[in-house]
Amino acid sequence: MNKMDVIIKDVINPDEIMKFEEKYKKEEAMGCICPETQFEYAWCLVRSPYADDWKTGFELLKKLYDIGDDHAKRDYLYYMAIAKFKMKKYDDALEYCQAILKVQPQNHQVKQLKAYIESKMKKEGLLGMAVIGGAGLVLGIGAAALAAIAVASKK
Amino acid sequence: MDGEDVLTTLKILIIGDSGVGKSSLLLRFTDDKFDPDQSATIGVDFKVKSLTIDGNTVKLAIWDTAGQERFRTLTPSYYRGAQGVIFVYDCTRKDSFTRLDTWLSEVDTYSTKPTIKMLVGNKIDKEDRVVTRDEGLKFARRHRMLFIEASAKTRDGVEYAFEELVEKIIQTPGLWEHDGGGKKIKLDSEQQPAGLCSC
Ligand SMILES: Nc1nc2c(ncn2[C@@H]2O[C@H](COP(=O)(O)OP(=O)(O)OP(=O)(O)O)[C@@H](O)[C@H]2O)c(=O)[nH]1
Ligand SMILES: [Mg+2]
Repeated sequence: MNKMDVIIKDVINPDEIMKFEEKYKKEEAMGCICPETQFEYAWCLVRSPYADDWKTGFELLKKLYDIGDDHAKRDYLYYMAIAKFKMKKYDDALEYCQAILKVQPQNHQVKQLKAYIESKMKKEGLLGMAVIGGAGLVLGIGAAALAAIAVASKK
Repeated sequence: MDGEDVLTTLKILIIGDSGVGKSSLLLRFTDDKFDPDQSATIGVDFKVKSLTIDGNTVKLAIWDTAGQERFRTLTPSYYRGAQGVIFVYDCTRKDSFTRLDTWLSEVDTYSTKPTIKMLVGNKIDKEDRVVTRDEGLKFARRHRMLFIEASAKTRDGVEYAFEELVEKIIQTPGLWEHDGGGKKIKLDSEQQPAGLCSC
């Protein structure tokens, strides 16, 4: 089996989702959701067996991305790409990968994900229509934001 | 791909603080490469590698977890079913050594099977070491772990770490199952540990 298949198809235990959902809902009820809690919950949802959850997970990640914790932006983008991939929104998924590669061109996890998406698109006859604009269309990431990720992701 | 003569597939986990060199050790082991600019792992990464030990080929499914704080609470969901765990610390960072207790108790809490544990003290090529070999060894003994000092940069100890771990798993009855079934395990008759069935 292709290693990307393993990563994409890896599914979290529903018990686990419920555990993190509870934590999230509790904080939501108190009117103050920590970004960490939101990220944990979103990551669970992206690994859920249910398609509905992927979408919710994506929305939560997008919000995190927009409020901008620079240190974590790369990670949000990666899971946004995976969520979109699962939802078969290949163009968007590709764009998120490219956004990361702009700041970490050598990141092999992202390079592999991108190659995987492209091979999927080729198989489904979709490549060529997309990939015109490159990064920045969906996200509208400015140069400043990208620079911030670059700095934050340096060790 | 599932090979012709694969004895079994083993799930191996690599855990430890961010920056200790988990991904670098894995990259050295699977691709014999080193990247001084290795970027921090996002969530988990996964690699497959076949290894032949004593004439038996085993397939390793290796999960390389991210040590960064933000991933901590969720990485245990990957521990399920692991037969071997590699704990990594950085010989030049005391905090990464001190934190081993936390990693150990996490594995004991979340893993679903008994696991074979290997402790790796990485980055011995560096001159500013603060954790001595002896400290590492003592810790490993106390917790019944295998132990090696290594350097992903110079290759030192890297193969040993994986091979010893796999060998120990293979020699431990009940930890693993045959992939195909019906295949003979090739074991040195002298080395055959008691209780390991060779059918
Ligand atoms: N000198 C030296 N540097 C190393 C060694 N192993 C890793 N490094 C460097 O240490 C840094 C961190 O290595 P990684 O492999 O990314 O660490 P990690 O444990 O995977 O970190 P996370 O993915 O964040 O959990 C990188 O810059 C590596 O090049 C080593 O044996 N010697
Ligand atoms: Mg890593």
